[in-house]
Parts: sequence; C-alpha cells; structure tokens
Amino acid sequence: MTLAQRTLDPRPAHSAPAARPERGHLRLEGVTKRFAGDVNAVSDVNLDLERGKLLGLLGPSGCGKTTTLRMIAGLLPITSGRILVDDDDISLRPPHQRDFGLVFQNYALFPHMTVAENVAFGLDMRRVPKAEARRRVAEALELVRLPGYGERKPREMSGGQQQRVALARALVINPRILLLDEPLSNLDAKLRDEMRREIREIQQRLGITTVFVTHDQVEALTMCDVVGVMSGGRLAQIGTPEDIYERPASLFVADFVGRTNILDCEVLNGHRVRLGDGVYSCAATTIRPGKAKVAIRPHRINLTPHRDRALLSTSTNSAEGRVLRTTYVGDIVQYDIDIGGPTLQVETPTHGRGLAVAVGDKLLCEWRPDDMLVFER
Amino acid sequence: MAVSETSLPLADAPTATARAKVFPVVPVALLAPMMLVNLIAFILPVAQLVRISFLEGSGGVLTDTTTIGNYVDFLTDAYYLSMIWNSVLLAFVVTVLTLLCAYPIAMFLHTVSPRWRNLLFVMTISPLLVSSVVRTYGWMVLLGDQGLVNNMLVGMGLIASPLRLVNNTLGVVIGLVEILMPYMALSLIAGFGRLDASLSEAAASLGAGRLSRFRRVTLPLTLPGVALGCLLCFVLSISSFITPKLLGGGRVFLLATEIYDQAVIQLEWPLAATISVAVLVLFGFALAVYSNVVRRFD
Amino acid sequence: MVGSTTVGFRVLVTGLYLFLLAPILIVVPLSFSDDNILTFPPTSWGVRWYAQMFEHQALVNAFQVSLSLAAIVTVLSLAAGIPAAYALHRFRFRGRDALMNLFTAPLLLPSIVLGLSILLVFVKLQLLATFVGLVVAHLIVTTPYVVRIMSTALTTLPPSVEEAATMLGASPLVVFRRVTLPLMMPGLVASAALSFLLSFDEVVISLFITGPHITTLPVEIFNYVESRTDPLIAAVSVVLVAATLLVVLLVERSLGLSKAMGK
Repeated sequence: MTLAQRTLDPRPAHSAPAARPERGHLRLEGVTKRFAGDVNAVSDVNLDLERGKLLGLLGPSGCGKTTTLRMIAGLLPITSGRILVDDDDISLRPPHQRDFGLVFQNYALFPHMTVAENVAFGLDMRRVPKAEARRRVAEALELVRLPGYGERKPREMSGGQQQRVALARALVINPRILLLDEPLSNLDAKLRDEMRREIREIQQRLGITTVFVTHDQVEALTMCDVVGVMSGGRLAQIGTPEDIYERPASLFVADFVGRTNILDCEVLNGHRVRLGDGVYSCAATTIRPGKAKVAIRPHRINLTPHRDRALLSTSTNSAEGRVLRTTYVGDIVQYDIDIGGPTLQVETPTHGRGLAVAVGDKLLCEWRPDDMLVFER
Repeated sequence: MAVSETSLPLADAPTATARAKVFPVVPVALLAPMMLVNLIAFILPVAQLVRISFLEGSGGVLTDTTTIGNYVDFLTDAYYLSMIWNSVLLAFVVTVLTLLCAYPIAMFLHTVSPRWRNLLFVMTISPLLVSSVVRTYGWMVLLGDQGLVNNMLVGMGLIASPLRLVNNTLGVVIGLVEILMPYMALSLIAGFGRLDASLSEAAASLGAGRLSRFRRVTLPLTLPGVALGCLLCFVLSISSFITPKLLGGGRVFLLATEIYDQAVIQLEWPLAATISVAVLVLFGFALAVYSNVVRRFD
Repeated sequence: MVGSTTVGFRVLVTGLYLFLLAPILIVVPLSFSDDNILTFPPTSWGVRWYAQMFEHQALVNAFQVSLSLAAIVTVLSLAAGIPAAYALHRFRFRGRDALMNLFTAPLLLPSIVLGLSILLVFVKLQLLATFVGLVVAHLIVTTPYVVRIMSTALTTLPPSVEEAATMLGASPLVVFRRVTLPLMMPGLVASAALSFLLSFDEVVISLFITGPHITTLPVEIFNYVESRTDPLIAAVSVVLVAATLLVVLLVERSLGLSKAMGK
C-alpha cells in the first residue's frame, strides 16, 4: 500500500461503514496464484457471488480453496486476475483496507486481550467512539450468545466459545464480506452441527455476503446457497447444492460430494451402457461409445426380494445380485452386492424391523436411468 | 535474493505480478543491523585470525609475507606439543570428573517430586549467573594455604602444614569441575527427560535389581545426554582461560593461557593466531567424535 | 517404589550441591573479614572491605563503565536482534537457515579465540580500548542469545493472530505495536535481562580489548585477584551476586522465570 493509494481510496478504511444497499457483491475474474517453482496453486477461478449469499468452497486438502480465500482476504497477493467488490477492483488493496471479516480455523484470538478487547479491536482501528464501541461489542456478543463474557480471557473459554468470539469479532465491524476458513473443523461433531445452524442463521439475518471454506461436503450442502467444488487449483463446478449433488459436472465432483458407486462401463449409445454382464439405461450422455465410468448413488438403488420380480416396471433398470456383505451403520444398512461382474454398494434406511437379508441371499437391485450418470474415464 | 512472505504482507503491495522481483527492502532493513554486528565482530575477526596465522611478524608488527612457518614452528616445538597434550589431558580428566559429579544430581532431580525438582533445578543452574571470576576467587579462598580447607584440616590435626591445593594443576581441575558442573547437569537433565519412570518399574517387575536396572535401563537411555554434556565440557575446558590463569598461579601452561600471553603480553600475534586455529581444530575433532558416538546410539 | 533413593545417595547429592555452591557461599562470610590477607575463617570481623570498595577509584570507574556498557549493549542487542529474529521468522528466502546459523555461530566459538580475533581486527579499526569497541565486542556475545530467544518466542506466536489484526483493519505498524510486540514481551524481557547479565559479566573478550584508560569491572577484578589476595574482592562479589539476584527477581516478578526461559 502506498500513501497515495490510501488517500485516493474512495472508501477509507477508517470511516464507519455505512449500511449501503449494494454492499457485498463479490466477483472473481480469472484469479490465479502461482507460487515459486511455477506450480499453479490456483488457476483461473471465476465466480460471481450475489449480495447476501453464502458461497461454500468445497474440496480436499491442497485443492486451493484456502489459497483462494486468502487471496480474497488480501493475505496472499494474486498472480493474475481481478477481484471486484461492488464493481470496485480491490485486487491490489492491502488486507487492512479491504473491510472484510475473516474467521480463522484456529480462531486466532488475541491471547493477551479479553474477549471484549478482542471484539473491540476492529472498532478501535476504525476510530469508533468508546461508548458506541462498547454498545456494539455487547450487541455482537449477544448475537453469538455470549453476553457477559467480555471480561474473560480467550484461554479460559472452550473451543466452541472461542469460535463464537472469533465470529463476533469479524461481524462487529459490519464487514462488506465475511470469510470463514474451515471454522468448524476443530469442533466436535455435536457442536459442529449446532454452530452450522447458528452461523447460517446469523448470516441470513444480517444478509451478509459470505465465503465459507470447508472440506466437509455436509457442511457445504446444508449451509450454502452456492457451492464451488475445487480440485487441483481449479473450480470444478459451481452451482446450488442440488446441482452439485444431482448433476455433478465431473467424475471428481460425483465422487467427492456424497457417497457413490463408481464403476467401469462401456457406452453403447447415448442412453445405454454395458455394466458387467448387463445392459442398462442411463441418463442421456454425449460420450461416444467406448470405455467410460458410471456413477450411481448407493441410496438411489432399491432392493427387492427376488420373488417380487413380476412387479418390476420396464422403465427401471434392474439387476439380479447376490449379497456379499452387510454392514449395519445405525440409520442405514450398507450392502455389497455382486450383480454379475461389478459390485454395487447399496444403502437402505433401517426401520427397526430390518430387511432380514443375509450374506448369500439373492436380491433384485433397481434404479432409475436418471440416477445412472456417465463420465469420461 | 528472492523473498516471499509466509503470511501477511508487511512490505508494500505493488502490482501483484511484479512483486516477486521487487528489491526486498523490508527484510533487508530488518536484518541489516544484525548483519553489521556479525560482520564487524565475527566474520572479519575470524577471517583476520586465519589470515594472520599465515603471516610472518612479531612484536605487534606484521609483514605481508605469507608463510606456513608458524604452523611448522608450533607443531615441531616439543614445548608446544606437550602443551597440546597437557591441555587435552586436562580437558579429558575434567570432563570425566564433571560427569561423575553431575550425574547423581541429574538422577536425583529425575526422581524427586516436582516441587523439589524446580527448586533444585534453579540451584543447579544458578551458578551460571555468577561471574566465573567470582567463582574462581571463591575457590582461591577455599583452597588457599590460609583457606577454609587447609585451616580446617590443620585445626583438626590431620595435617601439620597446609596442603598445596592451588597454584597447580590440582587447583585448576577442582575449579573447572565446579565451573562446568551446571553445563553438564543441564545436558544430563535433558537426557533424563527421555527416561520414563515406568521403564525402570517394568525392569523391576522383570526381576532386575537396583544395580542392573541402572546398568541396563537408566544408563543406556541417558547416554545421549552424557555425550552432549561431555562434548560441552571438553570444549569449554580446553578453551577455558580465567580459571587456569587464576588457580594455576602462572604455573599451569595450557593452550588458552598461551594464546592470551602471546597475544597480549608478548604481542606475538601470528603465534597466538596459530594456537587459536589449533584449538579450533581440536574442537572439530571433539565434534567429530561426538557425532560418531551419537550416531552409534541412535 | 522403584525411584526411591537411599540415604547414602541423598548424602552424596547433598555433598555435590555443597561443592557446587561452596565458592559462591564462601565469599559472603569472607566479605565481613577484618583481616589484611586472605584467610578463612577470618581472625576478626568488620565491614572495612565494603568501605574500601568505594574508595578504590579504579574499581569504581570500572563499575561505572560496566554499568553503562551493559545498559547500552542491552538496548542495542534488542535493537539488532529482535528485527533480525522477526525477519527470519516472517520472510522465506534462500539462505534463511544459513543466516540463522551465522547469527548464532558466535556462541560456538570459544571466547578466548573470539577475543583474540576481535583484538586483531580492532587494532586496524582503531577500536582497541574504546567504549565503542567494547560495545561492539559485547554485542557479538549477547545478540546470538537474543536472536535465539526471540525466534523461540516468535514460533509460539501463530501468524494467524497477526493476520486477524490485519483483517480487522490494522496497518502493519499497528499490528506490530498492538499484537506482535505485546505477545513477544516475555521473550523480550528475558533477552534484555540475559543481555545485561552477559555483558556485565563478560571478561575474556574484554581482557583482550580493554586498556589502562578504559576497563570493565570483571577485568579489573581479574587483574586485582591476579596480583593481590585480600578480602576486598569478596565484598565486591557479594555486591555483584546481590545485584544479579535483584535482576533475576525483577524478571521473576514481572513474568515468572520459568516462563522467561521459554519453558
């Protein structure tokens, strides 16, 4: 940051952020990060996030999701491309002038300050008068359901409480955009569920544009308006949670989001594939005949006792199979079923009575052609 | 120098594409004072030391003639050869005695309750905070002809006339062992950290007696600490100067005292430099032995 | 219990502690000797050596030199060592580990060799027997500790904490002042105290580069002990030990010694 840049900046960081209706429209254009050694950590990421929406960046570790978040935050300089907020190019603006809130994976609370001082820090930087700051700190702590905790030191609080303080600290400055870097990964499963709901509720109540980085697909699907799946530094697919789950754009997305059977197949034409010994109808595909992969969700396969065969509808795929293994998970039962070549994993909900299926039983597997997606190998 | 930041951009943020090529003003500015100190008081001096060890000259006057004569003279002079031998022998004896004195302390610290351990730990390393001149002076008081030890022995009628405990090698050894004990104890305590009490209990449950537990469990596990402590003590005692000078009373001639005498009193800088390089070579040997020993135990 | 100790072992350890602390403990009673020569136990008692101490002009001068020297060296060690440790911690560049090793290397060089080396260079630089020369020479003794302690202190400081401050609108300078510096405080106090004590006690290197006109207290004591044996130095030693104790207690009071040592 240069002095000139700061004075020319139309929105100085120290002015109290007024509630402007158009605040928080985030756009990334061809954002790329190259580290030393010519490896592209992030390549050509494009996205357009409407005001007030929650975007989840989902991917395995090393996919570039955190790097993307840090570039948006300004903590990492971008190699090329542009980042725009409300049509204002902020690519070169230093992080402390971006007016974004960031919640870190490890919370990053200031250990030498009390909770109230932590939350007040951003207001202090913005020269907010003491009395107003006190009021807003109290409000923010109220918002995250920690009223009266202001005088504690961070180390005296549990992980979940520290998480809430970090959230309050990021929200109290009324940021243009809220960034969350795997905020729930250090919490235990139960607390994670609770915080997931709470973060989503606060985000919707405040109508704050939010980018949320996670490796947990449940988090991405349940919390977000838009999900961007990243792989190898690229945005593999971006869309609503339903798009991502029902219409994965690639084998990677199908495999990464939710559980799925991925099997070798041979495409016969635009709507038929050969799988093992059988030929089945699949969702319409443009892949040319030849070797390919097919994906079927385990819970989209119905199991029927063999004797009910007569009830089959002709528009449904069906295959005879032999049970190789059953695994009782609690809410579901998983079956490994040999359908003459490939082995299908099938999941059925438990009812308390059970299907009374044993290893070696013969069953019929049924699934709709639309649930059978074909991808390039 | 290619500089990149681990995290927050402290430096200015010029255009993103150009930033890798920008001269790293901030880190260089931060490092500059330290580099300057290091250059003037470490790099230049050591370079000068090595250079002068290859120059002719005496009495504080140096010529520009390069020679290996200093080394030839030094290594062919029986006086200096015996001095090297004496210094190494003294360092060796002092190291062994220091180990014998510090090992029980480290072992005791390992077994006492944490409350006592902290107090005793502070007591063990506190002598490091007291100037070695003061501690050496204390030994002169204890060991002198009119000192505590001699007066006590005479008073008890055990000896008729005072024993000669200082102004000889004995005094130097006693003083050095005491001065170096905290260093040895620190290394040993670090080594004892690897020793889990349950290991000794396990050995006991298998029928090992007190002695064989020590020999078969405690000792082998603490050997890395022993090796480090010995290296430290050997190196420190071979280069020690204050204690040999004061407790030796001018009668104990070692490499370190010789460096000082030649440099400051005789002004024979090339010779002093040559002896210094020899000390550094001995350091190298000690280090090589140490890494060999450590490798064998890992 | 297996770890229990026998009486014999306890006696041995007590004896060893006595041996370790004897030379420090002995100077306290000796300083109250009224004798002209070094003899223990003293034949008569008094405080005349404490009085003598203040009349010994060379000692008083040397004390003043040592005090101001240690103070200046402390300030400069922190001024040089902290930015260096910070740069080594915060920036990644080729040769970073090599620089760290270079900065701590003077620790490994025996002070007798370092003293001679510095003498040989200072002769040329006209720094021999000058205050500036003493400052520079002491800096090479203290800065390795400062760099090392501060590096340790910085590694316990997660970078995300500084980033959090940045995201909240703090400029780099404010981040340093409000977050980094306060969190480095324990290391800083420890570095300062250690620098002061190291400089105040330094004797071997100083012996090479002091002269008749400027000398430090440890050098003066060394010269005194080498030529004369009387209880004067016992009185000086007691004062020095008491002063050291004071420094340690101050550090302990301000942040706890064990914390300052980075444990």
